[in-house]
Amino acid sequence: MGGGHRWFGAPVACRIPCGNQSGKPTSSSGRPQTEIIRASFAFSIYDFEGKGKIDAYNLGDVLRALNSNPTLATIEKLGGTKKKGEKQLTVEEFLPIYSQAKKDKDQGCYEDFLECLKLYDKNENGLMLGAELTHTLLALGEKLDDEQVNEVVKDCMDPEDDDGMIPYASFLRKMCDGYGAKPAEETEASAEG
Amino acid sequence: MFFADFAKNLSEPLSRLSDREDQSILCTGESGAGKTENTKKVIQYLAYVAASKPKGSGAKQKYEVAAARSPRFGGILSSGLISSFGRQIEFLVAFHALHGHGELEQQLLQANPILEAFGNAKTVKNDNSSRFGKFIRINFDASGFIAGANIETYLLEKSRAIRQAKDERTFHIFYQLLAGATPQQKAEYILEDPKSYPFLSNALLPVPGIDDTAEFQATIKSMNIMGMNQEDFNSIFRIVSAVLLFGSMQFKQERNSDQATLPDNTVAQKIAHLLGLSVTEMTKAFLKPRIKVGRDFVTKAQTKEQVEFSVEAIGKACYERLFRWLVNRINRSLDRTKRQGASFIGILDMAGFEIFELNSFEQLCINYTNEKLQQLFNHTMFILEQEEYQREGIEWKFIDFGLDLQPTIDLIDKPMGIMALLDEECWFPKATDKTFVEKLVSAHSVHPKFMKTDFRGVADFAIIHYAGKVDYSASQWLMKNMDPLNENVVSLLQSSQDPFVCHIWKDAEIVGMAQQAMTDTQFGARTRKGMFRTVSQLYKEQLTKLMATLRNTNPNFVRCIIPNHEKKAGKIEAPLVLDQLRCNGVLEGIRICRQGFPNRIPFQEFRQRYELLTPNIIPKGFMDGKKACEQMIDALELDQNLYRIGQSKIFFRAGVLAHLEEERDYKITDLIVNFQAFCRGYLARRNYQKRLQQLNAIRIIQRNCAAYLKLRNWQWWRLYIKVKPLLEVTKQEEKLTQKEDELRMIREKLDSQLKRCQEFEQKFQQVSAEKTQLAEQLQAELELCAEAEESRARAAARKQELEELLHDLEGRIEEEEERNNTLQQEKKRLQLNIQDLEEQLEEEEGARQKLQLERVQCDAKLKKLEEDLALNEDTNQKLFKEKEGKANDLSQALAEEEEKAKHLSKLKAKQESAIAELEEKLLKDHQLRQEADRARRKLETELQDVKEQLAERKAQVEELQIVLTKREEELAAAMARVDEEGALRAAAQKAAREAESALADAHEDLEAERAARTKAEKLRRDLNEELEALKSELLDSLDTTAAQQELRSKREQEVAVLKRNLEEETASHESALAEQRHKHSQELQALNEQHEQIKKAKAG
Repeated sequence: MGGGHRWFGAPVACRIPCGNQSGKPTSSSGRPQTEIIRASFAFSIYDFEGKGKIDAYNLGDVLRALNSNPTLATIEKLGGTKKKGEKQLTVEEFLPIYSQAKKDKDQGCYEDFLECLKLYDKNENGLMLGAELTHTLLALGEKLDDEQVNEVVKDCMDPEDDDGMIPYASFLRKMCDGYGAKPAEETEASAEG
Repeated sequence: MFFADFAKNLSEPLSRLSDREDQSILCTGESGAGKTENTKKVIQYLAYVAASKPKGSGAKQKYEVAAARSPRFGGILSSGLISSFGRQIEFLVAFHALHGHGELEQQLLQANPILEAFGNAKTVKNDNSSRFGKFIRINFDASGFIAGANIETYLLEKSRAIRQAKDERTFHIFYQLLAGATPQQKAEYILEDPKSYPFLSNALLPVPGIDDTAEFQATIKSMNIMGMNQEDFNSIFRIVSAVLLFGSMQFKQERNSDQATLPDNTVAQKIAHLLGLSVTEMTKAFLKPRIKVGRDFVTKAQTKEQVEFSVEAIGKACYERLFRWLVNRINRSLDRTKRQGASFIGILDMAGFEIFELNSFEQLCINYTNEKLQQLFNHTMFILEQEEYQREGIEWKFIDFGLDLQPTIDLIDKPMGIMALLDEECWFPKATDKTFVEKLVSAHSVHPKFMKTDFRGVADFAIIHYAGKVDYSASQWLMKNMDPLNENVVSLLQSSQDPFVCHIWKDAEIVGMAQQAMTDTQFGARTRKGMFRTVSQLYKEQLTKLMATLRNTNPNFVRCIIPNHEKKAGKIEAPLVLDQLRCNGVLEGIRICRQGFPNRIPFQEFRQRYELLTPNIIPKGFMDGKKACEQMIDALELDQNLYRIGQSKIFFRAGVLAHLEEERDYKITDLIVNFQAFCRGYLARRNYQKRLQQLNAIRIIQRNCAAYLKLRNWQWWRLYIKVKPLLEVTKQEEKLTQKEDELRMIREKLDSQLKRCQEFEQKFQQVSAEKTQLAEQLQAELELCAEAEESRARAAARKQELEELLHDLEGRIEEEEERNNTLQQEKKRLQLNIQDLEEQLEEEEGARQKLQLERVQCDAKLKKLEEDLALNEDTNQKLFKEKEGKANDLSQALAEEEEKAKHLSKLKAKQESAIAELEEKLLKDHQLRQEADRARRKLETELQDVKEQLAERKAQVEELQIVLTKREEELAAAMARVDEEGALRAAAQKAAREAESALADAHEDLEAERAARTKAEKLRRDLNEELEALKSELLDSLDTTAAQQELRSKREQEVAVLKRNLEEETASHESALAEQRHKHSQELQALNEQHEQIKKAKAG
């Protein structure tokens, strides 16, 4: 009985990600089949009502969950909406969007961003003003809101030194890698193990 | 859009500031083109992007502009157009998170409304025309924040304060004050009805779109921001009101003297109250200024004109000084931090080129300034540009744009130039505007840029400026250049009870003191000689300083262009715009931009800035800048013609860099968007992971629930549930729970212990940190102590040294004291000497004064003499003219005389011919007479015969008597024949009468001749008189006259001879005639007797 009692807790917890079985094969990316499964799973996470549909508002988040980094413009182009409740998407509709988003390679990478931030590195010592970085995110391009910036800064940015400077390379590293493809898969894999 | 583009233009100088190069922005253009507006925009922009750190906020935020190189200049049309050639793209990263402007920025922005209120006015061309030039210098500290500012003003048109042309207004502040003051203020500042001020020539001339009352409030607000208090306001507005009131003083001329009077001094009282003066002192100073002559003061009578002139001058000067004070006050507010700026941006807003119908001294100054600025423009645009090409080794053919303005500038400011001559004229006591013009013409008549105007025009001369020919009228120039002030009033103002008035007039003191030594001119105003400098000198100096500043900066030109003269928006008069573009060299500028390479970037910067566009082209590691750039250019695939690579820089044709900049901009935006997308992705994935974990948790709960539901109906399970409490196990269970409780308690305890432990640990860490800190401090203290010890030791050593030195010094002091004593004695001696000398000096001084007095008298005498001389010269000239006239008359008279003489000679010839005729006649008569004589003699002989015969016949008669009676009838018949004989006689008588009439004719001729002669004589007498009168002055004409006279006398003699001849002849004629008649009658008688004899004989 005692064993049964134990059986009640941990082992079950261990098996919980069985719903995530679809995620298991993702480690070997590239195969369309597994891709579809992975995508469907992520889709299902945002299918809050279980009707096999997601709100087009969440399209961007689903794509991001699948390790894409679409810009707002891209999302809109792909059929995302800016407000909730305007449009629903089914898995069948979603999958082609996802494959299209996958194809979009014009995303830039760590090195590109590094070059960009180097423009602010007046002393060429790998440091820039933290305020300048947050300002860049808040005020230019597709602006982030304060909350988003705060979260990113909290997670990725090293504390400013006395002059308000931060090492931008490590920020970029954390930002690009954190919760990105590899670590996510590792968690899944470890969960699986 | 306008502002954005403008900002792009502006970020250029700002970005260059980071190179530690001072910048200047020069706004130039015609009146009303928008220089001042542009200046304001520039300042707004700078205050916006380079505001100093917000106070109190700990976050060190830097608002900075990452600016690209941009073409050197962009023309800005005041209508808001950016001219296309000046197009450029700036990547502007202006940080918008400005938490409002700091105080300094606010003040910087508010300086303008104040300056505008006091220095701007409505003119025909422009409702808000700046009547002064300003150079605003904004200082930046090392980190690029505004550290302070400084405003310098040039040439306030102060004459506007007292007089305005038609449809123009004086400075805004006057109207603002009159319209906006509260009744209480009005009473305090003694403001009156606007129409009652003579200094407001056009009374209250409203300007559409300007509400003076609202403007007044705005001005007050600005002044408040500037940190001015109520006291300042009072002082300022009192002076403004006083300036207005100066015009209301009515002076009268005393009838029988040169003295002006002020019959009604209510206005003067008001002014005196406002300025804190005594009324009587002030009026006295105006009406009877005291003048120093030598060491004595003399009061001098002033005429009405002189008084009015000095009142106006004082009014103007008051206003100008007020303005200057305001500028200083603003500067004090702007520069109170005393932070030394690392670099600065200067913004120049100068009055534009002015061409009126008649231009005066002010225009010359303004145009001269513009000429210099234009020269600077040409220099930077054309000369420096091309020099840079050569320096950078770029193949370039030097183009001479022929826009050198140096000749004109030299004409104005070189020695012997216009300004120098003007100054020189100011030194001469007798100089007038006329003499100035004469000197000018004689000195520069051949100068290519100088033109004499014809005498018909009002203008005195013309100068060919770069913008065209400008006619100048030299009237009042000397006065304007000297700008004399009534010294007495000035010294009164300096000792005013109002500290503000004292303050603004304070620096006039130097001039006043210098003046004390001067004697006065006839104006009673100050002559400015010696130490004193004229307006043009001051201005020239100011300008030279400005130009030096500008030359040390990197100049950026803002060319303001007026689109139309109607103050209308959106209307562009193409010819007008073209004309301006041509004049100010913008067209040439475009040309050189087109042909040349207006944009240039050092290699390093080019690489840093545009490497983004050519990723992976430049290999990692070190690479020479030039090579890197070449590779980048290759990768960009630019046309060979679009760029040149110099020694240290890369040059681009117009527009290329803009294009690159655009690409870069695009690329950066793209990158940033993607960067943001990555951020979003990061956040979304984090969120996703959280959701996944939540999902897992939910699944576990679900599973357990499901398991429970399955088991619920399983009998064994139910049994187990039921049995379980009954089993001993339950006790165990209870124990277990008990134990568990215990365990929990212990755990809790443990937890709390752990927590406390942690706390302690933290505390420990803190304390240890503190300890290390203290240790460090201790160390530092120890070091300090050691240092102090060391320094103490050093000090001790030093003390030792010093003590030694002190000893030495004491010794020396003793020596010195000895020497001092001797020196003291010597000094005493010298003092005695000095006293002697002073006495001498005093004597000398007295003598000098006397001399000075004498000199003044002499001056006066000299003046008088000079006037006399002038008068004499005048009369001399008049006499000379008269003499000339006389000579003319005389020669004319002479000619007439000669003509007359000729006429007379002609007449003489005629007369002679007549005489000859008469002589001929006479000869004939002679012959006739001789014949008659012969006939007479014959007749006499015959008569003898006849007598004999008669005697014979008598007898015969007597014999015949009888026959006679017989022959009575025959007699009757014979009577008839007698009648016939009578007829014959009548005919003879007729002939005699004819001869008589001929004689009468001759008489008449003679008479006429005589009349002519008398007339001639009379004329001659007149002429003689005249001649006598002129003889003294006209010695040379005397000879001829004498000759003439001789001739005449000769002729007269001739005439007299002729007359005598004529008379003789007439006498002889008459006698001949009488004889003839007599003979005739005798003959007739004889014949009659013969006849009777014959009759008798017949009868006999």
